[in-house]
Amino acid sequence: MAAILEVENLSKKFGEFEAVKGVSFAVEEGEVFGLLGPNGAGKTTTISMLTGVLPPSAGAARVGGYDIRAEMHEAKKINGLVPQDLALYPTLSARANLNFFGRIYGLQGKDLKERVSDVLRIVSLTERADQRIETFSGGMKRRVNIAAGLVHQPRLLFLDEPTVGVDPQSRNHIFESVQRLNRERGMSIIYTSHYMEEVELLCSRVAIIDEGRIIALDTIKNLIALLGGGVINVGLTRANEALLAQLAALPAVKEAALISQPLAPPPGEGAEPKERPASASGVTVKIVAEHSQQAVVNVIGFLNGRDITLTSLEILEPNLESVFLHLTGKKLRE
Amino acid sequence: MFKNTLAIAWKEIQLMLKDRGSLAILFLLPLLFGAVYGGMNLKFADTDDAGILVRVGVVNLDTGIFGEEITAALHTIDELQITDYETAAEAEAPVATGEAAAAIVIPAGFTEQVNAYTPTEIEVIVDPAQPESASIVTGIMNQVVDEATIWGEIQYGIRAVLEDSDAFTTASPEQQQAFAAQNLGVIMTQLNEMRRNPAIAVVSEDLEGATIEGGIEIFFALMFPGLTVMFVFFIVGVCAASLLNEREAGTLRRLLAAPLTPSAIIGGKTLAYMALACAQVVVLLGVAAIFFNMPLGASPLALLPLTVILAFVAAAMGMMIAALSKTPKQADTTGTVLGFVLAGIGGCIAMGPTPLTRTTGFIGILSKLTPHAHALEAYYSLMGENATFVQVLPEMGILLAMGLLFFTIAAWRFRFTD
Ligand SMILES: Nc1ncnc2c1ncn2[C@@H]1O[C@H](COP(=O)(O)OP(=O)(O)OP(=O)(O)O)[C@@H](O)[C@H]1O
Ligand SMILES: [Mg+2]
Repeated sequence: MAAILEVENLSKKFGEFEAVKGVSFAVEEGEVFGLLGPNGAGKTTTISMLTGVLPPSAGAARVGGYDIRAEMHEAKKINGLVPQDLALYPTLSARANLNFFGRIYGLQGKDLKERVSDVLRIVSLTERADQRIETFSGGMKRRVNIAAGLVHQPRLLFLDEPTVGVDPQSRNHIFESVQRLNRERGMSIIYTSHYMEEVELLCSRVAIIDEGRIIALDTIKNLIALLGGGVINVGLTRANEALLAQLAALPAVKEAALISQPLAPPPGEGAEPKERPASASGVTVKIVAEHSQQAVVNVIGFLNGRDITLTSLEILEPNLESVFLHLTGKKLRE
Repeated sequence: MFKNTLAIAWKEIQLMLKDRGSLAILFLLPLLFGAVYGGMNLKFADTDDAGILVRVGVVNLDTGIFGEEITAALHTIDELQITDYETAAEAEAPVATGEAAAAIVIPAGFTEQVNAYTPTEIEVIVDPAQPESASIVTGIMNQVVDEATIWGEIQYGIRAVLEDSDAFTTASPEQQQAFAAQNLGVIMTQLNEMRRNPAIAVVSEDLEGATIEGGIEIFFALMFPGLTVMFVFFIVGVCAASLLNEREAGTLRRLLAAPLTPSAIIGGKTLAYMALACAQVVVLLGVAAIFFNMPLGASPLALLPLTVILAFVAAAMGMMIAALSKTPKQADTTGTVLGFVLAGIGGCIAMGPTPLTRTTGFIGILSKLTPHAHALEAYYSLMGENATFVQVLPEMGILLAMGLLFFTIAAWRFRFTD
C-alpha cells in the first residue's frame, strides 16, 4: 500500500517556543492512524501544518504525493479537516453550513445537494438539517462539525479530538461513523485524542506524542508489548507494607502497591467510582507483572503459604495509558 | 477562483440577513432620521410668511432638554418678540395690561413627562382683547410642541434600535448609557443645527425668484446623500467584525484548509458588504426620491457607478480596520467611532447649503481627506446641480483610489493564520 501522508522532521516554532520538535511518520492509504498525547503535546499544531492552517517552521510533508510547501493547493483538495474547536456559523442552519463548506471545494448544483444529504445521513442529522446550529445540543454540533469536513469527500481526514464534550450516545455514533467511512469508503483517517480508549478502539497504528516529540510509534499490540507483562489486581482482607514488599519480591513480579480506587471509568460515562473501604471488604493490591501467568501462580502460592485469604483476582491487559506512563512517567490525563 | 469568491459572498449575505440588529441600524435608523429631518424641513419651508410681530412672555419651569429646546425654538421664530420671565405671575402681568399678547408657561417636569409618554400641557395665557395675536401664538405653540414630541419619539426609536443590536446588549450598563448618549448627542446636535438653520436659510439665500418647493428639493439632494453616506460607512465596523469573527469562531481554519486563496476570502467578504451598501443607497435615496421629491439629476445612470465605488470604499475600509484590529469587538467599536468622526469631518452632518468640500480654508481641506466628502460632493453635483458623469469622474477617481489603498493595506496586514 502507498503512503497517503509522509511527514519528515516537521517542526513549528511560536517565537522562541518550539511546539512541535521534528516529528516524522507515515500514514498508509486506508489506515486509521492515531495521534495520542496529553494536552499541549503538539497534536493540533501538527495537524494545522499538514492542512495548511499554519506554515511549518522546518521539515517537509507530502499529502497524496503533493509537497505541502510547493503544492499545498493540490494537497488541500485531498485533505479534510475537522477542527478540535467547533468551526461553524451558528446562526446558519446545518444545511447552509454544509452547502458553504462544499462550495468552497468547488462543489455545486446536484453534486453538492447529494453530497450534503449524504453527510447529513452519515451523522444522522437529516431531520434537523434546516434548523440553526445554535439551537443544537453539544453532541449534535460536534456531528455537524464532522460532517463539514466530509462534504467534499476527502481521501485523508484529520479528526482533531472529535469527541470532546460529547455525550456517550453521540460518541458511539461518531466511532461508528469513523469506522464506516474507513471501511466502506476507504477513507484514510488521522484520529487525534488524549483518550487512549478511543485510540485503542479505532486505530490500527498509533504515534504517542509528548512535548512536541513522537516518543513511540507502532501498532497498539506492539506498543503494549513494550510493557512486557501485565497488571493483576488482587483483593485481600488486609495488607501492610511488609506484605507488599514480600509480594514485590516474588519472581515475575515487578511491583506491588495498594490502590484506593478502581481504574478510571471510560471518559464521559460519568460512572461513580466504586468505594472500596478497607475495613469492610478488604483492600486491593495492584501487582505489575513481568509475566502475568507466572506472577499469578507465584502470588497465589505465596498467599496460600501464609494463609492469607484471597477475596478477588483480576488479570488486566496493559493498555496505552500504562504505556504512556511507562514511557514518560506521566499520566495521559491529569 | 471566482466561484469561490461568490460562495464566500453568498454565505456572508446569509449571515447578514440573520443579523437583525445590524440591519436595523443600517436601514431603519437612517430611514427614521430621513423622515424626521425631511418632514421638518418641509414644514419650515411651508410656513414662511413673516410680517406680524407679536410680543410674548415665556417662563420655562422645566429643567430638562425639551423645555430648553422649546424656549430656544420660540426665540428663533421671527414673528415673535420673546421676553423671558422667572415665574408665571411675572409673565402674566404684561398680558393683563395688554402689553403682551400672550404668556407661555412650560411646566416643571415637562421633559420627564414627555420622555415617559405622560400627557402634559404647556399653558398659553392669551389676551382676549387681541384674538388674532392669540391664535397666532397658539398655532406656533402647537407646531413647536409637535416637534418636542418628535424628539421623544426619536429618542425612543434610537433606544429600540440599539437594544436590538448585539454589541449594545452585551455592553455594560454604563457603556450602554454612554453609547446611547453619544448617539443621541450627535443626532440631537445635528437635528438642532438643522432646525436652527433650516432649509429656509438655503432657500432665501439661493432662490431669488425660484419657488420655495424647488429649493427644498435641491437641499434634499444634499441632505439625503449626507445621511446615506454616513450610514453606508457604518458598515465598516460590521464588516471588520465579520472578518475577525471567522478567526474567533474557528471557521477561518476551515477556510485556510480549503483550496481558497486569501484574495478569495477577502474579496468575497468585500463583495457581500458592497452589495449591502448598495442596498442601503437604493433604499435611502429611493425613499427620498419617492416621498420627498428629491431630484435624481440629469444623469441618473451616473449614480450607479458612483454608488458601487462608494460601496467598495466602505467595504475596503472595513477590511482594513479588521486587519488593524485584534478582536471583533475592537473592530466594531473602531468602525463606529470612525463612522461618526468621518461623517462629521466629511460634512454629512454639518448642514450648509452646499457640500463641505466647497468651503474654503482648513475645514474644506480637512473634509477632502475623507471619502465621505467626495462621495457627498459627487451625489450633490449629480442630483442637485445636474452635473454629468464626466464632471464627477474626478471624485469617483479619488474614491476609487482611496478604496484600493484601504484594500491593499487590508490584504497586506491581515494575518491569514490562526
Ligand atoms: N498560536 C500559538 N502561539 C503560541 N503558542 C501556541 C500556539 N498554538 C499552540 N501553541 C502552543 O503549542 C503547544 C502545543 O499546542 P497544541 O494545540 O498543538 O497541543 P495539543 O496536543 O493539540 O493539545 P490539546 O490536547 O490540548 O488540544 C502548546 O504549548 C500551546 O500552548
Ligand atoms: Mg489540540
